[in-house]
Amino acid sequence: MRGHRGRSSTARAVMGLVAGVVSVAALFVCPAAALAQEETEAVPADSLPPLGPPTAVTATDTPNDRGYSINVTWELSDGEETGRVTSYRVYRSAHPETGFVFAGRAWPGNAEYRDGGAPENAPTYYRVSATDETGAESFSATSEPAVALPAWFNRDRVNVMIAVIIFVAAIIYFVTAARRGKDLFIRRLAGLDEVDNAVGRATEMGKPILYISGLSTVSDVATIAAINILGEVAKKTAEYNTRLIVPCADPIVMAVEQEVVKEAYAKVGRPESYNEDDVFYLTRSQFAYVAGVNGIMVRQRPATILYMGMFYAESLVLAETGASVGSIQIAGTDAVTQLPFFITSCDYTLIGEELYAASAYLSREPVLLGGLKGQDTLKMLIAITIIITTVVATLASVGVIQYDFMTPFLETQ
Amino acid sequence: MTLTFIWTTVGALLTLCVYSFLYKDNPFYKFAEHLVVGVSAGYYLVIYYFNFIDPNVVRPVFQLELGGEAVAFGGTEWWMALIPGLLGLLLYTRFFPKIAWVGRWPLGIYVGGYAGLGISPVMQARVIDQMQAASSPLAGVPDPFAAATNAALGFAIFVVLTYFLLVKRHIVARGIAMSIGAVVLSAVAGYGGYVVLSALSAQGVVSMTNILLVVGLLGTLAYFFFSMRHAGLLGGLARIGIIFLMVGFGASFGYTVMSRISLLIGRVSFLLTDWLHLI
Repeated sequence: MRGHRGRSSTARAVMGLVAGVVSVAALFVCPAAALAQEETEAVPADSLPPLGPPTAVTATDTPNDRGYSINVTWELSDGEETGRVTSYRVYRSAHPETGFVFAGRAWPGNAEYRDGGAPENAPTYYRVSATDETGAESFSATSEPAVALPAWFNRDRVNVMIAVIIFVAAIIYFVTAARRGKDLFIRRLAGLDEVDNAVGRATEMGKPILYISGLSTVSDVATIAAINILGEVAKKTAEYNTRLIVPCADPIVMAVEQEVVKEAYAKVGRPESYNEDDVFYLTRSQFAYVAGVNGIMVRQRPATILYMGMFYAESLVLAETGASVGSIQIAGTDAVTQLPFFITSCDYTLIGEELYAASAYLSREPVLLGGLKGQDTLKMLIAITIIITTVVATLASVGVIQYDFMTPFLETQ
Repeated sequence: MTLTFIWTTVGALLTLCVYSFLYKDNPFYKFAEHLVVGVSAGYYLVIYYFNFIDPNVVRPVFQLELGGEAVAFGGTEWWMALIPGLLGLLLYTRFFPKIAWVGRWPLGIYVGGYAGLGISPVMQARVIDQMQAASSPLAGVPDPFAAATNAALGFAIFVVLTYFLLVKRHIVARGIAMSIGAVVLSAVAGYGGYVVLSALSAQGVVSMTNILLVVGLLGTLAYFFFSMRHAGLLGGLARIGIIFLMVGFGASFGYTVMSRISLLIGRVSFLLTDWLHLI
């Protein structure tokens, strides 16, 4: 009985295995057979009629741009209906009959292309071809000429212009008010209150102050803010007759900083204390600069180190070395990814826009204070706008109002 | 011994010289430091010439060819290339004290030009576009991050309530049983909060992600108000803002540390694989 059951189960297992193999084979064979049948039934590509060309090709200058761009549109080929179109190829030429060169391509279903390589201020003609899977092209007629011209005014950015006008008007208003003697309040910034103490500490210890204005160029707002702060720090070091060391990573920044420090020393009546060799160019290479500054830190052992400006991956290496030599460290940057490192390794950190406010805070000059007040006004307007747009978007989303009429005001191209 | 091996060895030894700084400043580190600073300064001098001066001044002025095509300076006249070239030369007047003041002109044009050109793009990219992205409906929309947001908020309820009961209400001083009870109560409240928020999010009644976004944004904006005292409503908003900032910085810190570890692994891999062939 046991043996019979054993044979029976073995037979079932063998039959099951055979059935499984056959089933799996069928899965592969059947589609393959079906495909083969399809292939035999399919019409050879070369025997198909040629694609109908795209029609009604038009070329127009791209609006609101800075030139060198033409929009090309067409009506789709009739090959779209059978799915034979693989792409549309766009050609341009300075002459209507000859000299057409490839400008770009659009995918099937697309009836427009923006040619960003068009010559400026010259008539340009276009042809568009529909291409099938064999690569055969069916060309349209030549379009009327279009001329790529830069636009004086970008109407897609009217909202940006309004924001800039409001911003500049607010700054002018508050600068004027500050010049007339209006008292403008600035809240306390702990990091900047410590600059005085830090300079005093360096003077007492007879050690220098190291000022690092980051690796970026003068085109960076953070670098400009760092240069402004350097001027105020230099005035204090000149008053206390403390050495100020400024290694630079950019030659233009170095030239500007030399001027700023020199002027600061002259303003407090100590031009003879200014040493041009203390504001010097090190190198543009990121980690070579770090190696050089680290060397200065461990050899000069500055009492205070100020990091102001734009920083990248070098921030933690610099700040850790500064902490290891026992310096008081004050940092300020708008580099969001580097702020955590400065917060963890420096005594005080100016976060983002506090860096921009720093020069006004230190100098209390009416022009800078007015600018700061103008920025706060813009921030207030931004907050109010966000509240309004959020409320309107929510009301539109839950169906209380028909559509969100605020969002289009914030769209830019 | 191949040339590759020699240069790999030089690179490896310089790497070790730099790492010796971890012990303390020493002659090996000084050597590597001076070498890399000097080489990079010279390298960038050449880069500056061939990337900026040569294509923007020398070739346009002397009508030389670049890549087989005659250089047209921005499609305009060749002499226009002389303007930035001359401005650059004026920077060198600083070496002559009597006319050093002339060197401030190019600096003024450079700094002022960049600041002026920067206003419009910055206003668009950092203000208008950000405002548009932040203007999200607080309800009536599916919340793609609902599960994570609600779980985080449920956990936050648990942590805050536990802290409030144990520390602020001094329950921890009343014995272990009371403390465990307080923790269990907080856990139930946190889980309850998670369940309620999940139900509301699923029905589109609220979008907790968008609410957090708007509250965090307004709080952070409030923190960066400098011309008003941080007190009352503004002070409360600013406090919320700094919490959001610190949570963001914490996440960024962890993320960046991970990438730095990968740099270290890359360097160790260079030493052990490319140089010593141990791996």
